[in-house]
Amino acid sequence: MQVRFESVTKQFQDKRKRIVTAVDNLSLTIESGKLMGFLGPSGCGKSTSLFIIAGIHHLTSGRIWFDERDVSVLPPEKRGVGMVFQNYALYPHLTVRQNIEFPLVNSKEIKNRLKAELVKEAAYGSMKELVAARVMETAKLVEIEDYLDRKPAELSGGQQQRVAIARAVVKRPSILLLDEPLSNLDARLRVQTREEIKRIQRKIGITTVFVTHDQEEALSICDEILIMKDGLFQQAGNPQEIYDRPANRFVAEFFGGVPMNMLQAHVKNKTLLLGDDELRTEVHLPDGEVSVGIRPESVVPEASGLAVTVREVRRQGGISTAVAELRDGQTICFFQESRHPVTIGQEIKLDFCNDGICIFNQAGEKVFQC
Amino acid sequence: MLRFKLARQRGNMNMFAYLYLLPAFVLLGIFTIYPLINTIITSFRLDYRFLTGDFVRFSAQHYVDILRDPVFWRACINTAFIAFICVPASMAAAMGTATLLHSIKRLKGFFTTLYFLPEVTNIMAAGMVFALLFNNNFGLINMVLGWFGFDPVAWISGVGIAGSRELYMQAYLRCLFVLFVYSVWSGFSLQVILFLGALSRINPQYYQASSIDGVGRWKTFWKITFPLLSPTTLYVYITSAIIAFRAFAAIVALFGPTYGPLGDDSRMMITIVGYIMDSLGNYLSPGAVSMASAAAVVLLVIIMVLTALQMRLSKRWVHYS
Repeated sequence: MQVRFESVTKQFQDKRKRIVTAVDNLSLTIESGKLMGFLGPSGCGKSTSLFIIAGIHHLTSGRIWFDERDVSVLPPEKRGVGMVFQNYALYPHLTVRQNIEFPLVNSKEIKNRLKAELVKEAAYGSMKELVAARVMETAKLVEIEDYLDRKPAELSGGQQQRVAIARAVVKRPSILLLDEPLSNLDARLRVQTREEIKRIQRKIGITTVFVTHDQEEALSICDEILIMKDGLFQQAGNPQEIYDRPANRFVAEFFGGVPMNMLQAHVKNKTLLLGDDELRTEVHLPDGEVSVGIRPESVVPEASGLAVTVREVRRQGGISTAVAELRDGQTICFFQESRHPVTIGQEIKLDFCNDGICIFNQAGEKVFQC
Repeated sequence: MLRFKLARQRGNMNMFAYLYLLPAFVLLGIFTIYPLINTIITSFRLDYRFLTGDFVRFSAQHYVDILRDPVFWRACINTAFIAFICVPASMAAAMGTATLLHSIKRLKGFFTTLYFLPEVTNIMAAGMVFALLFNNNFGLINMVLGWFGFDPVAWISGVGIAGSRELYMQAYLRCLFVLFVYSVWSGFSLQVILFLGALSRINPQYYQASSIDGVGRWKTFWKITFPLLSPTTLYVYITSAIIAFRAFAAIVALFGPTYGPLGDDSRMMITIVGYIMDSLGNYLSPGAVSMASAAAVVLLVIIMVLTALQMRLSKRWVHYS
């Protein structure tokens, strides 16, 4: 199912009765069957946007569409979404089996749907059998079929996570919502579980929205990403596309494992100058101060180019980075090749890949890329 | 330095712990444990005279006496009525009220305070106000009934019941109703506060999850809220039942020092503690104090057995997270 935000705004009143805008005029389309990541620092409105899809938060203004259906004022139970909460929200007094079957046996609407299926499919003799079969099928999908009779407290964090996913998908929702599903797991498990989420999502082909503040997570599993800041849309699209062509300085700096280099430069007579050094010509911008963003991998030591002095060499496992000082005192970070290692104090020259330089104006908007 | 040395000698540390516990233990011993043992011994002393300390011999005769006394059985029935009918009713009302209060945003503090007021009201005063509310001639209840065209009801009255078993039962049921209303009201306040506290400790995400799953409010209450409240429910029931077993002052305030309405001489509304107090009132006659002691021991055994039973049964339905 396609999900569409149409100028959605959500405002809250805080304890001092001030109005806080959590989501500001957001318009966005999430294509059917895609895994969409909502990404941004804490408090940017990404979880609020998710809760708006679920129907837990009501809109202040704007509309939400599921395909051609306007669901803006529908209560959560009418929307047919499945949700995984940050702390899983597994019912502690119920076993894993009871947790997974909870929506099936307690929701009138789902029960009616199951009854209709029971008539169609003769394979199951009773409602009980159908529910048991559904639970088992879902448990197998998330690989927790051996723990069905345990209580949530007897499971590890990763297993609880799987149960939460099973409870969300057992009712076959049209949209799956995940609110920071990996934040309570340790680093190794997080990598494992995110692959698992991707696998499950692919297998059932469900439109999925995944909220995270971890850009690496978003980059590794999402088909599409929305980046937000202070309730405002920053950029949306393919993760690699966003990485390569950030729309503004915030996205450029937020997105990327090793942060983007941000240097002060200026434009004079269509030439981009870093201090006295010429970086690029044919820069069609008015004269003045600009910020220049360059990804570390776009910086290459060459025979000619920007003259710098190496100040620091860092090795982190397989990745080796170096920090060099420009003539005007600014520093720039780059990946060094193992074939031509640099040493501290060495004077080298740096060149930049095509399209590797993003130029931002004083307001932080990207105005040119070359 | 001294403290450091002592800390290294763990054996001595234990002794210090006992030393600190001593004051509490001494008080407990003088005012709880010694009287308890003494009461048990007294209950077995036949024709014990309180002033001289004489008694005939040790015997279980007083237990036989009270178990044969119809007034004692009446006291047991009335006490059981409070503990097993009034307390659960009051708890159901409190749990419902707390759930509703928890779901509102405005005026929550105001209503919480309002509901807590009975807790800080003197039992005698509250009981007497209730007696007035149910007054046959100028009570508020009869006045309201009058507005709707009903005849006034003689709520607390035993006039003319002597000799007629039917009239006696009717008067008794009316008095039970008054007691029921009073008990529900008086237990309610603290229970609402306790349930409110427990409700606020339930993770709100459970409710978000159940609403996304399309589970109705009623089902959500029974499947999620009720089980998650169960530790508090058990606690509230045990403490309220124990308070109910000791009911006395309220009975006197509602029905007077004879434990019954005017015209009744059977001590119709007496409770076990009332029975004990009555026996103690005759302390000069031989055996009266032993009777009271025996009744007190019976009450103690009942409370202990029931509490143990509740704790055992609770393992099946109480969920500790």
